[in-house]
Amino acid sequence: MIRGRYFQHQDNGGVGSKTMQRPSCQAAYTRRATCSGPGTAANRSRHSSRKPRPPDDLTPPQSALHSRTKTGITGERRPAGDRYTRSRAMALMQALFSESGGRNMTRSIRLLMWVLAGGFIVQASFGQAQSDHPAVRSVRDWYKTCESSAGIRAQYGGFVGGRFDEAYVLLSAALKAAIPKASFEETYAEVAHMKLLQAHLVRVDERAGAAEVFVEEEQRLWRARAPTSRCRRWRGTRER
Amino acid sequence: MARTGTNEQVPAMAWYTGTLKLERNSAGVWQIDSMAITPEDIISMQYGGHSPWRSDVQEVAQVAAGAYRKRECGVDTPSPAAPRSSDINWTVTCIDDGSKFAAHEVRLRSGEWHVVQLSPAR
Repeated sequence: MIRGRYFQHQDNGGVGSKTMQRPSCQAAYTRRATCSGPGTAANRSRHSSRKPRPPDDLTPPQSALHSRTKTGITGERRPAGDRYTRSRAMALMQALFSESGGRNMTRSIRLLMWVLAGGFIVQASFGQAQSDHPAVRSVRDWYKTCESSAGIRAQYGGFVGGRFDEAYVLLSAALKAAIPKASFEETYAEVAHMKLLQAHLVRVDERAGAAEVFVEEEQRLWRARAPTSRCRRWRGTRER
Repeated sequence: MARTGTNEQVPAMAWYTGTLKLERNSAGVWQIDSMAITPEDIISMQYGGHSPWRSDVQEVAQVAAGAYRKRECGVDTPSPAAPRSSDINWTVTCIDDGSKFAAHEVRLRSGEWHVVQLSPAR
């Protein structure tokens, strides 16, 4: 039983739990997540009749790559129009910033450019300041230690990484006092690999020495297989 | 040696999101003091068609702003998010009273947008 401090790695009956309801043979494994955060609103239907949009793929569209690509000097494939677009953009920038080009620009356009550039720099530095905050760095470091660790039931198949010992050591004293090491190990027992996908500083109180960081992590697991999800060897009646 | 059915394991992938609370100790080191992590739902929206608005950066911000001010926030300006962007800072303006909110949203592996920060803006 975890006392005091808040430690929740909710799995809805997940790692090591006997309440697991939907074991699976599928590669993409998930459980229904609970709604949280301000995005949850009661006045929105979870079962909207609108058609779901296809998941956005972060890779560029294949058609764009295949239709207009050619191999560069170093052998890399890149869009054919890329060089021309870039050179055109460079020419435009040179024209804008060169003295002759500058003379032709009106003062208002130049002012607008400075404002836009300034805004970009301010925003970039603000974002960088947030991602470079020591609290976010600590979170990244913690996940780095997790990357070379595997849970107590996930260490086979030649994996020789350590357990989550170091990750446990890096937790605060209060949290370690609240969670015995055995409970911590059990939480990550089936995790073969865990990595941080993104971390964002939500809020920080420097005076109180408290911070909150939003994270998204990816886990590769060795899930205990329940009887219903065994690999199927079914035969039609004629083959019997 | 063949493994028995009870020992068999299935390789799987899962994505989790949540919040870590950190405290700075006496040595000035930030340490994780609490965790609240939940699994992402990568099925309901993508395959079940539930709550498609969660994949819309503008609608998610709109709902968050409405929850913040405790009444709906209609927005008529589209978000400046590029189609493939996964992290956006922008200002949401509610059309009824012109109240503005600075929103920081990130896209999750599930395709949903999540509001990391929302605060009143001038």
